[in-house]
Amino acid sequence: MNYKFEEFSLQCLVNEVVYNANITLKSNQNLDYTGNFNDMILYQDNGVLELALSNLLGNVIKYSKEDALIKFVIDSNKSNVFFEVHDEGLGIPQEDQKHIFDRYFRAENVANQQ
Amino acid sequence: MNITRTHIKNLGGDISFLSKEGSGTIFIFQYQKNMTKKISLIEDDETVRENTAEILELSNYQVNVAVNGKKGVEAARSVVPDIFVCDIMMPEMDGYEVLNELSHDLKTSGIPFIFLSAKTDHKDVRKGMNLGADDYLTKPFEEEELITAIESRIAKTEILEKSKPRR
Repeated sequence: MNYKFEEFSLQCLVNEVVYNANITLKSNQNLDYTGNFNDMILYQDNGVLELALSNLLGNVIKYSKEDALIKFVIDSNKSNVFFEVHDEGLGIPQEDQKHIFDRYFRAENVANQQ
Repeated sequence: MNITRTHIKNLGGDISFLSKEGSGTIFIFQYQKNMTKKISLIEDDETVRENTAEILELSNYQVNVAVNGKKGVEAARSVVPDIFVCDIMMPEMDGYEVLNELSHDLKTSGIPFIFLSAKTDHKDVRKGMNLGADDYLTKPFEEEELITAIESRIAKTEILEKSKPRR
């Protein structure tokens, strides 16, 4: 894949990701986001970062119960930005954790629930 | 998650998680702010400046040039680079003064600094290093020599940065 690097505002990106995630929330789910990134400009592939964050939030929303609180925290140091997503979901069983990044993998407790 | 992680890694980041069954999960994306590193090139000789900038740009660096020491210091205060490459003999403010000035500014004091100079005398090299320069290259220099010096200094800074606790 060819990446396209450009300067963009982190605030705009986060607004877009949060707006789209809010549309997909289940009944009584809440998405709470916090971060200190005023005026931060990234030089990155905007589309890929947006897709990655949307996928992550989408998964968390999908596998969280109704009325769950999902926290989205953005932090940074000199050279990196950190995006943390906290959910109140089922958690990932210890034995499944090593497979979580395997293609098509779904944790046992999620598969059983569905 | 597999594809997402591949992209994040390709873009210089990483993804990790903490989870306990029944207690939820925390996913953490770490993502680089800038894919290209910014170099402040401070050099008064137009030919050397343009040739060096071209070498650096071809190596995928973003190069901010300054035509003398004073302008280099001013520019670094508005756009903080990842590394300085600086001549010594320049009008307005020489390279030693540039390094001294930047070393006393919190915004720039931790940024690697490389001298690029025609002054080849051992005393000059010693003076530059004693002032706190990270490296001292003499003109004429080999492209590879310059790139290697820059890469190693940036890599060292990144390791130090990663080892610091997050605020």
